[in-house]
Amino acid sequence: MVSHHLPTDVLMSYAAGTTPEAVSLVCATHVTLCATCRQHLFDLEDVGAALFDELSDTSGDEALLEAVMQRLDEPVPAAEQAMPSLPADMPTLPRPVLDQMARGGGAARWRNFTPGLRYIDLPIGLHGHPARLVQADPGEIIRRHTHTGMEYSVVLSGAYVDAQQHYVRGDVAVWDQKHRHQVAIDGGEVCVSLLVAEGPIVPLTLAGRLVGVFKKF
Amino acid sequence: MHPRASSIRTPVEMMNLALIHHRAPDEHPELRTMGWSRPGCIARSCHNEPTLTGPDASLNDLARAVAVDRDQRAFRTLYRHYVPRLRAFLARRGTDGAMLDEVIQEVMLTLWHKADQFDPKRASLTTWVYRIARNRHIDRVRSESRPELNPDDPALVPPTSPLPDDQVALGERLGVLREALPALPPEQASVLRQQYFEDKTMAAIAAESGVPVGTVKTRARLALKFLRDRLRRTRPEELE
Repeated sequence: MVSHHLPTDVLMSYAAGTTPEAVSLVCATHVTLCATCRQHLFDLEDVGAALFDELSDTSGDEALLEAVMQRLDEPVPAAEQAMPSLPADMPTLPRPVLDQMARGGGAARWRNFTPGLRYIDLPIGLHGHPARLVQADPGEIIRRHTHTGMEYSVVLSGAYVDAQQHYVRGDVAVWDQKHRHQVAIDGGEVCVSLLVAEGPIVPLTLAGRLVGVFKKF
Repeated sequence: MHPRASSIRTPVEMMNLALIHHRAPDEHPELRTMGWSRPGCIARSCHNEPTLTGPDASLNDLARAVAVDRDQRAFRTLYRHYVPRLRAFLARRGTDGAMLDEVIQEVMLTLWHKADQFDPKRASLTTWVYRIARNRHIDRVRSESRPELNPDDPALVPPTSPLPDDQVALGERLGVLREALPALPPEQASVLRQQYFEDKTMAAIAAESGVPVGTVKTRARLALKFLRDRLRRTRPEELE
């Protein structure tokens, strides 16, 4: 049961079409898994449509109409994308995530960051930092850290605890750079999340900083 | 039946007239030559038609004629209805010249090719066209992909409880919103329009209007609360 939802201003920007594509991916993924925010999105899209309906600019449309009529018989390019080949341990992914993996092409496989933490980069990102799927083993703790900008995540399987809040499949978290947190994988299941951040994580513990000397996540 | 209705030959013509008279008579001067002078003159007769219960229903009928009969006349009517809106929408997002015409053509061609995918039980046709225009703009002008909800996704989680039964019927939602918009306080309406039309983030709107971003978000939230309350037949203030 989803209990962490998208903030209204983020969902509104998504309905208006002003979110960067990686944030749109977070929104599309969450509304696939959350019926409440999906209805909220439909309300916001109807507001957009009502505003759109008030507009009018009738300059030079008849010539363009004939150009469109000439093109009605043009063949339509097939839009179907091949389903990406996924690791066997991947949970059921929402279509917006699958679509991005299909765009990435080839067989997706987990890359190790640390022994208990793996990731797959998606072909889109935020400020040059890739959106990614992150897989963490049971008991894994991502030590106290912050981010250089906004951070968005949606749980796709398993569960984690952050600031005493429990996050399960479908739950979304949106944090700004002021949020310093530690994420602990909860329960006996591997946790997979979609993670979009404006920059690499900034570790706040000694151990984290030592790892950070060698790798950026 | 209206005495002049005998000059109308086909259901599509009937729908065209009903649509145009409801929505935008002054944009379609050719109708006056067919004998209709003012909006509303055939409203009552078209309400007696079982398939025509309002402007959005007429648009749905035209979309069905395009989908099922590949009806080019219905398509022309939809074109004349939507293109002035599309042109203004794209211009306000900063699109002009050849690119603006190209995006308009692509939106209308998408309507022609995908009309069979439009489901009037899920959204109004105007909302469907708005989504296409928004996404084509992102694709062509911003050169980004648009991750979208897929209504046929097997991963889609259905609602755990049905929608409350005080919801305004789907076919009436846009009409309710159109009526509610002029009642918004100007500063809230302004944030809403900038957000939806001008492709501006909340931070950009705040910087331009010289107010904190928190104020912009509050205005947007208040505007949305007001509008969403109108989409329920029982409004919170009526319960008190």
